[in-house]
Amino acid sequence: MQTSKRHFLKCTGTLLAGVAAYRLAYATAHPEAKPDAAKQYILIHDQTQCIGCDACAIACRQTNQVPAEVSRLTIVRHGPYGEYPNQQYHFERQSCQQCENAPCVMVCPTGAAYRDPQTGIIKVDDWKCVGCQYCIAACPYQVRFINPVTRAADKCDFCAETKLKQGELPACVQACPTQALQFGDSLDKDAQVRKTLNSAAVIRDNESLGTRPKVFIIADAKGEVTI
Amino acid sequence: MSAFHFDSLVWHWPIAIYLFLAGISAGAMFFAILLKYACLKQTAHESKFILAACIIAPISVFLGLGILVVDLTKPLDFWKILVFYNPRSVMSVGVIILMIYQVFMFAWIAAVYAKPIQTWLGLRFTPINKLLTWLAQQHASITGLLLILSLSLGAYTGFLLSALPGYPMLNNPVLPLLFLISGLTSGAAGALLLGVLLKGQPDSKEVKFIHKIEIPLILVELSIIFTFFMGLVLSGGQKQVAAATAIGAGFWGWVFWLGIIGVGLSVPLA
Amino acid sequence: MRSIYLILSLMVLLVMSVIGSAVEAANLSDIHKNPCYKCHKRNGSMLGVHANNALAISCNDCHGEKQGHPRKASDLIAFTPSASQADKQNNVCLNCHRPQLLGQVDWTHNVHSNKVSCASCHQLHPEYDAVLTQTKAERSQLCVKCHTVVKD
Repeated sequence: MQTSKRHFLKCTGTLLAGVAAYRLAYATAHPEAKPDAAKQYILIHDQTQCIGCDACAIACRQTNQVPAEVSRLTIVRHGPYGEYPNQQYHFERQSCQQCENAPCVMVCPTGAAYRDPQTGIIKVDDWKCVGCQYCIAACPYQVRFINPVTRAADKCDFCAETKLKQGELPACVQACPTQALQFGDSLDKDAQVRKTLNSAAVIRDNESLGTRPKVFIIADAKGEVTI
Repeated sequence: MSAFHFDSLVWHWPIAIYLFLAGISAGAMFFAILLKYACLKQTAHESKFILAACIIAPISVFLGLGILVVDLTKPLDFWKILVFYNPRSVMSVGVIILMIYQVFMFAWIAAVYAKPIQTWLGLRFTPINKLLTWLAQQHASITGLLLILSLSLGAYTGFLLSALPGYPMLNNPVLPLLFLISGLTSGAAGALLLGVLLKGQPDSKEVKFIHKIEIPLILVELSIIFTFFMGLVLSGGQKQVAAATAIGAGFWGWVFWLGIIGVGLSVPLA
Repeated sequence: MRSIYLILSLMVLLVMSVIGSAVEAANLSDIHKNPCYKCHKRNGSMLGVHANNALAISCNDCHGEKQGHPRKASDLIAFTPSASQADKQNNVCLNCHRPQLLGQVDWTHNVHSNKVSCASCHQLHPEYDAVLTQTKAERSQLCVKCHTVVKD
């Protein structure tokens, strides 16, 4: 009796640990993005066209009613590089990267952070969110925040609940005066974003983390010389 | 910017206290089980040190959970975390472990103190008496499961932090092991301290037994800390920077060498 | 009794005229004694920081020497974006304003440098330069005014 009980416990423990490890490893190696998903929305930020006018960030705040003390989208300025009068800046877009393999979705204990299977967009269920802030800690891009009004985690959702619902482009894309932002469905063979992905040297932020962002960057051609 | 302000860490110090308390609870329970199973057997309910562990474990885990709930931005919605689960989330798995752990912790405590409680109750409340008798009969299974659960609880806090890809210092495979052992030793220390305060004998066989396990654990902890930081340094890049911040010159370097290595680990060994 | 009222009202008139002339003197600084003003009164008054008497700026300091103006050729320049080359206009401003300091106050100075005339964004004849008090959205729209790619 005693040995069989011990044997049972040992086996169960090993099995449980094995299943847990397998599930985690499987989930990491096979991101949820399935080819049969209806749409895979992506965004391309062309830094060579960006002028840092903040029109995108202002439009985002207005469209999504983002309170003043937080932001879904910010343009970070790097520079100046070069000597007067030929100086330039780099503009980096900071917003949700809509990772295919999203750490926030992985760590959320209630499933409030989830991927919309129809669009591939990472969304937040305000009601399910309890505000443990695990997602904020897990996001390597540090673009999540607690919305002071809803007390829930919040971030860019490509305007899924505002502009996309009305059949329009995201507010930032609409507002950009220089066409530095391109938005579209990467599964659509005729989409402009797809052509750009195939023709331009696009990069993604922190690719080594394996998050597979769906925000692509065309990096500024002019670089900084620091040794 | 002060040394206690981290630009990037969204969780502030209450969470660190929770992690510590969860570790202490797991450690106290772990040592209580070992003490009963390998040393005291049927006389466990007479030991002050078992009593100390049985006081520390529930109080610290409840205090820790209280901190967790209060730290939510929506504390009143905490029940949602008990209703909705995400099997891929370390936190969600931790909640399950915590819930089952608490059930088995109370079951174990009840089983250990079944006889004294039954004597005290006399013939009143027969359902409770029956329950206690049943628990005492299931004691072996409860002990086995609680041992696994306490180890899981001690390690899960480490996994909770090592699941964060954005932090080079935390995203480290050795971290859960380090958390586990440090929790176990803290729990043992807590049980010893309270046991002595409850007028337990400092030179009793319980104390000798705990020390026999605890001191090798501290040595293992030292070697794991060494591995942990060597791993960071050899990985290079941001990990090396994080290691330098923690143990190099500066405020945290002093805290590490004097507080952790000195007072925390070397003095108990000496 | 009546004489007291008369004296009082005369005194009030006197005080008011003194104050009035003082106010007028403060409003219209010494730069308005410049001969240009005889014809260019229709262009409005010169107000704001650059009209401050302590700076003692004359019209010619910025707009150049009169020479043959208005009938014959002159090197006078106007500060409107289309009037002349941006760097020619901006060099006048740079006589006093240092590029480094301008860059510290606002980064856009660095990129526009000698390529966009200062007057594209700034106005210095009015009392206040509107650019200094604009909202974020207004500022962004100012960028958009030039930086617009026609969508296809």
